[in-house]
Amino acid sequence: MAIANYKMNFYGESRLLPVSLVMITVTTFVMALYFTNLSALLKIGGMMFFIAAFLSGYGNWLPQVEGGFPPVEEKKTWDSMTPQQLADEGEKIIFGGVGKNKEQGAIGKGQCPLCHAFHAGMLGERAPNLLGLVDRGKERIADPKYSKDDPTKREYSVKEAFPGSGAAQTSQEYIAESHACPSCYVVTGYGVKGTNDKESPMPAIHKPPISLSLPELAAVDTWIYVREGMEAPPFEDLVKSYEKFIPESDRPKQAEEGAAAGPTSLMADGSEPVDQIFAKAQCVACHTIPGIPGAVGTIGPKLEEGTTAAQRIKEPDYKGTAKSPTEYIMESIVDPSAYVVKPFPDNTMPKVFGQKLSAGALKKIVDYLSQVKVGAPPPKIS
Amino acid sequence: MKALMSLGALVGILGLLLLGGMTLDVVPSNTVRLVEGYMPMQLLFEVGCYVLGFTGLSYILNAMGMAIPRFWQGIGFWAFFILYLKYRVYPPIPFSVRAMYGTVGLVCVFMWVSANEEDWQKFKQPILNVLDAQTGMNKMLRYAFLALIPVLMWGFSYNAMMPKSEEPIELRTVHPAPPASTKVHGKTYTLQTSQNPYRVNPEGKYDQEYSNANIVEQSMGRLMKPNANPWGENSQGYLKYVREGGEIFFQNCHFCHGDNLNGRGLHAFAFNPIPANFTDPGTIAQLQETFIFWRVAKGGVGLPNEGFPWASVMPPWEQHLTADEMWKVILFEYWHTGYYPRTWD
Amino acid sequence: MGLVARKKLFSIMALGAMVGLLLLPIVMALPSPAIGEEAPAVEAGQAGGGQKEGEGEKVEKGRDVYYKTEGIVAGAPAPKTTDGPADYPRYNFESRVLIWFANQQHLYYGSFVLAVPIFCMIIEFMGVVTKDKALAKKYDQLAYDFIKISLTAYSLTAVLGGILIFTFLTLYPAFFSYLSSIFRPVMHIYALMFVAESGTLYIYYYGWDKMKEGFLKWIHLSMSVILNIIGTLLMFLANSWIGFMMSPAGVDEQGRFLGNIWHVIHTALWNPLNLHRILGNMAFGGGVVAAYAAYKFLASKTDEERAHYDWMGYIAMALGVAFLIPLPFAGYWLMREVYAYRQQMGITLMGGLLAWLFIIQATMIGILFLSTNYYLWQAMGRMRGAEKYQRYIKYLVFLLACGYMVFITPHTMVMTPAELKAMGGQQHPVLGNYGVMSAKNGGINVIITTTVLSFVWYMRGNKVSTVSWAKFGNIFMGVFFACAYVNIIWLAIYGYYIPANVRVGLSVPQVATTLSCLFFMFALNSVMMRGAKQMGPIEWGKISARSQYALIMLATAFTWMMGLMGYIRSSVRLFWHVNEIMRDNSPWAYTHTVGFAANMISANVLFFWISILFVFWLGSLTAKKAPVEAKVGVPGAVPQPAGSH
Repeated sequence: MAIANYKMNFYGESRLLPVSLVMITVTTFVMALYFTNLSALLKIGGMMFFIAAFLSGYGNWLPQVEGGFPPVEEKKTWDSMTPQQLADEGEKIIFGGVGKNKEQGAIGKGQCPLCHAFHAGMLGERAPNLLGLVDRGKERIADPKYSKDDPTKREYSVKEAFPGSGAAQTSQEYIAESHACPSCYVVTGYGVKGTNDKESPMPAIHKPPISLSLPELAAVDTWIYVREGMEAPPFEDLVKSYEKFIPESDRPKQAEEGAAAGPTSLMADGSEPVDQIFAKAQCVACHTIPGIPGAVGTIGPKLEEGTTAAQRIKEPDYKGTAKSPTEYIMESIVDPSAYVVKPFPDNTMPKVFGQKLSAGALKKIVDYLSQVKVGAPPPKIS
Repeated sequence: MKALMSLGALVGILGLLLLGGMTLDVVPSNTVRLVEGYMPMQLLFEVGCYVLGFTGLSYILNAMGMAIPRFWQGIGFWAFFILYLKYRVYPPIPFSVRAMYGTVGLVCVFMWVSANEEDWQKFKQPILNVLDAQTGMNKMLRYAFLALIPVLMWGFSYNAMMPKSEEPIELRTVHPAPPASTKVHGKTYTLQTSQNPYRVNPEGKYDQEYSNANIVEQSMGRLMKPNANPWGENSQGYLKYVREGGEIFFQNCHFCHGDNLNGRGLHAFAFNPIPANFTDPGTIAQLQETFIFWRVAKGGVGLPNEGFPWASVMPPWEQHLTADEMWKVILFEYWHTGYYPRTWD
Repeated sequence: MGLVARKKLFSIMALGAMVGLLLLPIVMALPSPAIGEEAPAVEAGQAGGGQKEGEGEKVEKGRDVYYKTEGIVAGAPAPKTTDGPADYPRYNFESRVLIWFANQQHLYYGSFVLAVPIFCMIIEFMGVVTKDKALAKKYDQLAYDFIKISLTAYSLTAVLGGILIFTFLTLYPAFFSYLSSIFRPVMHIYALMFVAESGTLYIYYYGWDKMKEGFLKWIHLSMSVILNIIGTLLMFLANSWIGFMMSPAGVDEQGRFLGNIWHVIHTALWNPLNLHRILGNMAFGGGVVAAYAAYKFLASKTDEERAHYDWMGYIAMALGVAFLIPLPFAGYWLMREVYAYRQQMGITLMGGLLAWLFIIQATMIGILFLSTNYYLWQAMGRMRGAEKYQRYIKYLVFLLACGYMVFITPHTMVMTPAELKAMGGQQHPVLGNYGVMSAKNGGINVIITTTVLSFVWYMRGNKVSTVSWAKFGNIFMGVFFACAYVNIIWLAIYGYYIPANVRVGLSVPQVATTLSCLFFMFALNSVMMRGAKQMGPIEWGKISARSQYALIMLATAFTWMMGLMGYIRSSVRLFWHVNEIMRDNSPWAYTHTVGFAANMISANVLFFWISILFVFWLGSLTAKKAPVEAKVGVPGAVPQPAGSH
């Protein structure tokens, strides 16, 4: 009876448990009196049972609290991250993954490595090397051309990030301003060719197509500090420095989880019209492309492949494998060093477009460029 | 030896009388006061006296030829102990604890009476007498037990199964595990690492040693340290924040937590559980400041389930105070009670 | 070269070859994790090196969650499981309970078979160095008996291990594949080391007779040491899995292995677990053997048998308790490491959800020490000459009772709201002070010191010291103990007046006091007892039956305690399979009530004892012949225990 009672109440409380406990123990001891050859066994068994059941009873006598089910998994929010975590996120945004900052061709959502170098000895023709940026920022704002006290006196193409925003007073603010308003101050030698260093080829990072949100920009900056062993300003201060230069209406909404770029995410997937593809892949930063607004770059050749592609294939020093203009355009995109147009330098065009553009996007680019002929009106955007 | 034992016997008789009186409610429990600050040791001391008294009494009675049988010694000792726990200690000890102590007492009495074979035989003798029932008296006792034991079992079972109208026992966790971080007014605080921004030295850096040097003394009088008066004219920095925290405390907190911070405020006894007593070494003295910050900000409703959020009337002060005000109040509490917040280094 | 010398040389070479062959699998396996680490690093070095052209190796790096070093990701992230037959296939029963059962039984048997060889090592060693020839023979025979019991248990351990792995594979496939992907080399080495363990164990057992004398005996002893080293290493490897589950290291936040196998083994809690488990194994093993002896004692028909098993029980208890005494300190270290690793885990354990389990544990510790003391007093009862200590036993009872009651007072008391109101608050002004660590440390140290005192009395029970400074020595010992008590209690009181982080360190002087009582008083006592006059013999076999029940109590309490602490270790992970890395998304991600846990533990305990009775019975089958032989053989000599070679 006692055992049956115990079994039935395996999960629940049983008020008669002490009674059954005593009963079973007494039974075993009485049995020991009768079964003398087993008596030691029975007595010991009874004693052990008594102890175990007593402790069980003790456990059941205490008020029972069941631990609840686990909470729903929380997403990591920007303001709860440690500096190291922020720096890791920043590295992911810049390079596409933690630890990739030395990797050739690593580009993340921010697309910074397309133009900027980050390590000593790596020259950037398109944009300044960002090693030692924090200290250099101080020098920059001290530059009289920077005109930190009165930005309206600047000679650059843009005077202030937005009217009334003022100029940077600290190194961090300089970094922020450089993201939000690249043409507010252009480092000598890095301006758009022909503008006498008054205009910067760098896009505004908070605007499309890159559209980094303020927390993401803060993460990027945290990495800049942390990787040189410096203590990054707290998250709130970094965001504040951006808020100084980006009015509220311009601030991008926080992207959903998963928008942070992984190493394999595409720049363009081919669903967008080709002018957006050119913008997203930043072709416009280096090339002039007829018919594409904003494509006024002079670092690379003007893209009139409808005419020039055929010519280039016939050049005596052409060592590539393309047989037709479309093949040539494709080759130029995915393997820029196969043939470099003179007098442009080699190893300037990024080599990652083969992984960063989908087949559809590439096709659209090729289709468009193959229709661009010198002297003719530009083709339609599709 | 005889003198010592006589003294012991005297103590024993006195103890017996006192306890008897307390049991029968003739003598109030606080006749022999439990002195504040010494109570735990006093309790152990009293039990020790009682053991010596018992020993002395037994010895004297033995010497006088009126030895008490081991059996009755054991039972008497245990009964005295249980009555002591129930009637002498005030405020009353909960039943569950008395049950545990009583069980331990029973086991220890058993260990004592069965420590050697001789004593054990002496102890068993009365029981065996009744079971063997050779005399008329013992026969009657045996029959009485035969009737009584089932009755007791019935009573016990009845009592256990009868539904009662008392509130059930609740096991509230007084110090639930805090979350890893908490968000107050949009800012996230990691509880393991955040620090009270007002616990600063004159250079403005977080400095617990400096603040600990300026808190109230822990002695009976709880006096302020010299030259560390928050209400002085020139007090700056830490002391000034203490004063500000004090002002906030007396505007918001002392109604429940008392003006002496001992949980005896005006409203204290309207609640169950009553407000925390900060002067007790088991409350803020044992906790990290961030834990307190979490509690003050989130209040009773912010407790995890094991902390019984429905039972606590602690308001979530983040709805009425800024984070800075809350940090200052906590600063004040530690200053006033003279405790150091718990740290890990 | 003489024959003997050649035999020696040959035996050393053979031993060396044996050991080498047995350890060969391990030695061969060791380089591969090391190589495994380097290869990706080399590749990454080349890749990062700086070729502008061509693709570099796509290596991703991660940061170790515990060691904070960077490593190259070398594994998949921890699977995100969902409730369903894919990740949590099940019978119509809570899978967790099945694993619990299989695991616990395996651990009981494993603990037993690790403890017994340590016993054997110690006892065989005592047998070799004891000057008294008869006693030496008894020791040797005892060690042989122990190892015989261990053999059957050994195969049962393996069987249960297999059952456990199969249960893991079938009921928790996602978790187990993740864990085994990280611990692959460890698991292989673990399995291969069983080859070494088995080989050594069999040679050790079967070669006992052949290696009985002289030089070979020392070889035999060395084998016991090797056996224990292998066994301990096995346990350490198994502990690494548990340590990883509780306090992962060597993986990044997503659970990806970062290539450094030492990091995943050497987690924050690995060494505290190692120490605690070695001591716990010994205490438990002592308890099991003592229970065996108690059973045999109570079932004995002759005085010689009773004498023998009384003696066996005493030795087992002494060894078990010797390892029990440092156990609370190892446990304290373990808790401190848990707190240092994750404060929240520590609070969950002792302040939150699992706090009541620790009160039960406190109860059990008290039971253990009280049983030990009781046994020792009973044992003094069979020593002629120990009567002088009997009258002071009640004071020891008093000390134990006070220490025990302080020790089990909970911080949060179970009470009805009416009682709470009468108390005027959650804290009782008197008892509340017993509820905190400061008092509890004092309580347990008082208990342990009292146990040491009982032991000292036992060891000098029937003797009177004959050294010239005996009186001074006795007074010194008395004063030493008195000061120890005063110091412990004073430190406990002082703890209330200092900040918490200082108070936590107060346990060190308290422990030092207790341990110095142990070491110094034992040492002093043995010096004082040299050449002591024996007042009367130790009448082995004349001990009361109650003492044997005390041994049973000890054994059951050890077993229950192991189950309880194992449950605590497992449930502190709450809803994580691997703490903060791999979440438990099964339908059983909640924590059971205390009552349910207690029921399960009791069931495990009873099942274990029933099964080990079977093991003992098997052991006794071979021994049935012996008693007849022994009686016929040498009458009047030292009683030959049952079970000869």
